[in-house]
Amino acid sequence: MRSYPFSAVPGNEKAKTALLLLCINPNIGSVLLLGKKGSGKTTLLQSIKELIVGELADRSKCVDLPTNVTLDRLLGGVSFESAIRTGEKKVERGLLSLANGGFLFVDHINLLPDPILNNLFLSQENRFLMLEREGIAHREDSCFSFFAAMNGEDPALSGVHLDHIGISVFLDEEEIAEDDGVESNREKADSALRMKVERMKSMMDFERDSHTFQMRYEDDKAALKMRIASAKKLLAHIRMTEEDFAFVADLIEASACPGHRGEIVLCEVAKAIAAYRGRDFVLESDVIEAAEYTLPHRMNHPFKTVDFTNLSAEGRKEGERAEDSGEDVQDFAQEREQCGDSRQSLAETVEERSFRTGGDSDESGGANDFEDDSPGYGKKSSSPNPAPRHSVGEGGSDEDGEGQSISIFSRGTKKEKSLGYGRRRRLVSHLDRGREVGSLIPRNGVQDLSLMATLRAAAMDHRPLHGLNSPEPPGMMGFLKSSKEVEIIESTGLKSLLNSSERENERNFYEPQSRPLLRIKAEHLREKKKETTGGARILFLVDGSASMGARRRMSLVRRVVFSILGDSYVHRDFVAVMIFKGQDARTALPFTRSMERARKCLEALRTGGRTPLILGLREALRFLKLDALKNKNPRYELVLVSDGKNNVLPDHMDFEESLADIRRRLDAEKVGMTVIDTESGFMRLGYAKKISEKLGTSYFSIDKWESWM
Amino acid sequence: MYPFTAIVGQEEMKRALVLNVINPAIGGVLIQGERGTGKSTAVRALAELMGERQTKCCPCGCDPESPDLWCPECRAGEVRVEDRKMKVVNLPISTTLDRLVGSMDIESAILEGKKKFEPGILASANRNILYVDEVNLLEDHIVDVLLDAAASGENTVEREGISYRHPSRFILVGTMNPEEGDLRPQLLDRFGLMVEVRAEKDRERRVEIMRRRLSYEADPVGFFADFEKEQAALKAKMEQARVRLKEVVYSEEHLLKIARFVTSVRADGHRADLSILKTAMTNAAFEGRSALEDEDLYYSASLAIPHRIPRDPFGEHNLDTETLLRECFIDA
Repeated sequence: MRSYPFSAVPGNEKAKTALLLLCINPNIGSVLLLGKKGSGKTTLLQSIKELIVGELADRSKCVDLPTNVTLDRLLGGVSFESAIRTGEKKVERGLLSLANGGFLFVDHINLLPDPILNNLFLSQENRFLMLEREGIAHREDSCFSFFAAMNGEDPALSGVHLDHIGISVFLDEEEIAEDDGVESNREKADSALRMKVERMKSMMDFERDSHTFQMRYEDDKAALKMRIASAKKLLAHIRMTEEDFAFVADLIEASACPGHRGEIVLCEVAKAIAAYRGRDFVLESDVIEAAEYTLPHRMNHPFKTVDFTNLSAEGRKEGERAEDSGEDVQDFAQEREQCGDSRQSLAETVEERSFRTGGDSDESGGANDFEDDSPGYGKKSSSPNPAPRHSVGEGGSDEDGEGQSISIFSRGTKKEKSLGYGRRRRLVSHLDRGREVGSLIPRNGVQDLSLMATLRAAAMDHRPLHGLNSPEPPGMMGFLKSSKEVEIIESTGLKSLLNSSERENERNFYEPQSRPLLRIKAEHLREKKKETTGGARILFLVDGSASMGARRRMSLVRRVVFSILGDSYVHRDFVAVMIFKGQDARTALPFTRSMERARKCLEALRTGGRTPLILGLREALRFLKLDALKNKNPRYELVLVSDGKNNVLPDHMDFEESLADIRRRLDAEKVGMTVIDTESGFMRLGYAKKISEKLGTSYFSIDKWESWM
Repeated sequence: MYPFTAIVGQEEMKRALVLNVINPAIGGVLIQGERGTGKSTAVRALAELMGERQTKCCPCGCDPESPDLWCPECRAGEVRVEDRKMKVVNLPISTTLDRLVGSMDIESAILEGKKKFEPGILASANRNILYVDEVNLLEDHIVDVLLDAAASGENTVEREGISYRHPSRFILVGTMNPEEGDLRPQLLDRFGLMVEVRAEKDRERRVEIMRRRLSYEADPVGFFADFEKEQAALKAKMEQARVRLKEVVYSEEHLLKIARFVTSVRADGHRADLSILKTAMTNAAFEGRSALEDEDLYYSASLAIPHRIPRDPFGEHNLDTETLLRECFIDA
C-alpha cells in the first residue's frame, strides 16, 4: 500500500504525539482523531499503520475495521466451509481475535452500528471475547488497542462510547489569519500560506512518485522507531508516586468526569508522555498534558478546548467565583467569547458537562425535562404546557440557560426513556430500509430473507453422510415445493439459482455436478434484522424577519433552541434548520445529527425583511415530504420559532384558510408540531399563541423560559 | 450511444468530464441541475471517448504496472493482461450494501460448499468511473461505505464470513437535483469539481437539440457516423493531453496564488487546493500548453470551489467568489 510517510505529515504535532503515545503504551487503549473533512485523518491513520508494521507489530496484527463489518467477522463465527465439508463446527477467527496483541484501525468509527461498537468496547475492556452463536460457545483472549478517526461534523459517538476512548485529539484547524495590515497578523497569514504551499508540493511529489518520496523519509522513520522502542523500555520502569496520584485525583475531581476510566487512562498517558520525553519519572506538566488528551471528551459537550492548568486546586476556587457572576452573562456573543477563551473557567466546564448529562438524567427521573404529558408522540394538545418541573442540578449550573437541556417532545414512556438515549435508541426494524445488522428467526413468515444467515443455519445442520462424494439427493428442492416458501424464494436472489437447478433436477435428479451440497429446510430460514435510527427528525423553522431582530430576543431564542438541541444530541435526533424572511423560506441546514452544525447555522443567522410565515410553513412541509421519500417511517417534528406576525400572504389566500390547509397537511403527513413563541415584554399581541391553537400544536412561550432564569 | 460531441452547449460540464478522463487524479465531478439537461447522456457518452489501457483480467481490472495495488487474485498468480477501455460503472440508488461491497458467492456456497468472494460494484469501479445518478438520494449507510472506499482507495470487506480486500480507486461522477435535498458535506468534498447545468435558453440551440435528438432516435448508427470525425478529433486531443500532462510544470507563484485564494474563500481541508492545481494542469495540457497560465487557475478554481465553501441560504452574505477569483488569479 502506498501510504504517506508519518514524518512527512505537516503540522498536527499534538495528534502525531497522541498516536505515538499509544504505540509506546498500548494500555492507553485507543486514540481518536477528530477533524473536519479533508484534514488528513485517513492519511494519518494509514501512516501510523505503516510506521507500526514491522518492529512493533506483525502486519497480520494490524487489522482494519471497515464500516461494513458484521458481527460474525468482528467476533468470529462458525466456519461455513468446514461445517459443510466435514460437519465439524469450527470457529473462524474474527477481527478482534486476529488483532490480539496488536492494533485495530478504525476509520469513520462513528459510522459503525451500535452492536459493533458495543462489542468492540466490551471486548477491549474485558480483554477477552465471548462467542455464543450458532451452537458454539467460545471464549478467547483479545487484547488490542485501536487507532480511530472520525469527522467532527458528523454525528458524534454517544457519551457512553466516548468514555471508552483513551485519547481524543483534534487535527489542526486551518489558520485563518487575515492580512489586515497588522504586522503580527500578516506574519501569521504568511506562514499559513507557506504551510499550504509546502503541503501542496509534497502531496504532488508523493502522488507523482510515492516510492522516491517514501525513501526520502526513511531515516526519519528509523529514528522514530528507535525513539518508540527506547520509550517502551523506559515505560516499564516508571512508577507514579503518591503525589502524582493526588494531583491526578485533584484534576479529575475538578473536571467532574463521571466514572473512573478517566483517571486510569490519564495515568497511563502521563507515563507514556514521560517515557516519550525520555524520563523515567512523571512531572506535573506530564499529567496536565495527559489531561488535555484524555479528559475533554469525557467531561463536556464534545469537543471544546479546556485549559487544564486552570483546573488545579487554585482553579477550582476561581471557578466558584466565576460561577457566581455567571448569571449576569446574558448576551450571547459575550458568552460565546468566553467559551472560546482558552482560560475557560470551571463554572463553564461544569455547565458544559450538564449540557450533556442534563438530558441523560432521564435515568434519574427526567428531572430536567418538561414536556407535553401526552404519551403518544403524534398527539397534539392545544392547551398550554403543564407547569414545568424545574430541577436543581449540581453546581447550580442550570441557573444559566445554556447549561440545561430541555425536551419539548414527549419521548415515550418512562421505561423506554431509561433505556432510550444515545445511540441505543436505534430501533430494530423489519422495514426495507436501513442497514442490515444481523438476522432473526422469522416469527410470522419470512418477509426479508437473509440469504447468508439462512445458508449458515443450513450449513450448521448439514451432516455429510459419506463425505463429499456421497450421492445425496438435493433436499432443498424437495422442500421448496410448498407454495409459501417458493414465494419467499422468488422475492430474493435465490430464485434464478433455484430455477436453474430445479430444471436440471427434474430429469436428472442425481446428476453429480449440479447436486447442491446444502439442504435448506423451513427451520433454516432467517430474516434480515435491520437497523434504522430511532431519533426523531426535527425541523426548526426559524423566523428571520426584522421583527425578530432585537438583539436580546435573538440571543434568548438561540439559547432556548440550543438547549433543545442539547436534548436532541442526547436522543440522537436529526435536526434541520429552515429560515424564513423577506419573501422566501430557505433550508439553512439539511438534516444532520451534528448539533454543532445546527448551532453554527443559528449563530450565523441574521435578521431582516418581512415575515412570510405561511410560506415558511408550506415550504417546511414540502421539505419534510421530500425527506420522507428517502427515509421511510421517520418521526417528524416541526418546531416553529416565531412571534407569529405573518405579513406576507401567498397567492391571495386568506390567512385563516391557509392555516386550516396547513393543519390538514400536518395531520395527513403525521408531523408533530410545536410553536415556540418568541414574543416577550408587556405589550402582547399573542399571534403565535393563536397560530398554535389554530394548528392544534403544542405551545411554548419563550417568555416563560426567561422568567425562570 | 449518443455521441459526446453531439451534445449541444453545456460546455462547462463537458470540459469537466473530459478533464477527469484525462487525469483521474482530479477526483470526479458533481453535476448539479434540473432534470432533462443532458447530465446522464453526457456521462454515458463519455465511455466512447475513453482510451484503452493495459488491464488485468481480474474482477478489479488491476493495473499491471502497479503491483502494490493488486487485488488478491492478481497477487495469487498469473493473470492475463489485455487492452481495455475505461468504463462507466453505474451505482443505482437502490443498491444494497452487499452489492456495493461484494458478498459471498451463493452459487459456489450451495453447490460446492465453498466460500468464495463475489465482487461488488466497488470492485468493477476500480480504475473506472463510478456513476451515481441522483447521488443525493443514496441511503446514509451506502454513503458511509462509499466514503470509506473513496478515502482509502480500497474496499475492505468483513461481512458474513467473508474477509477480502481489493483496490477501489474510482472517478466519482454524480448528478443531483438540489431541489431534492442536499448532500452530506464530506461526500461533497469528495468530488473534485462541481458544475451547474441549466436548460438551454437560446431558441436556436433548443431547436438544434430537438433536431439532433430526433435524428439520433430515427437512425442511431447513421447519426453516430455523422459525428465520427468530431469524436475522433476529441479522442486524439485527449490522448495528446494525457501525454503532455506529464510535462506540465507549475511554479511556486502558482501554488501561492492557489493557497491565497483557498484561504480567502475559507474552504475547509486540503482537497480544494490540490483539485485546483491538478485541474489547472490538465486544462493546460488539454489546451496544448506545457506551462500553467493564470487562466487555467481561474478556470479550475471556479469549478473546484463552489461546493466547498460555506454558503448563506439566502445568498445575502455569500462571498463574492467571482471577484475573489479575478483578484487572486487575473489581476494579481
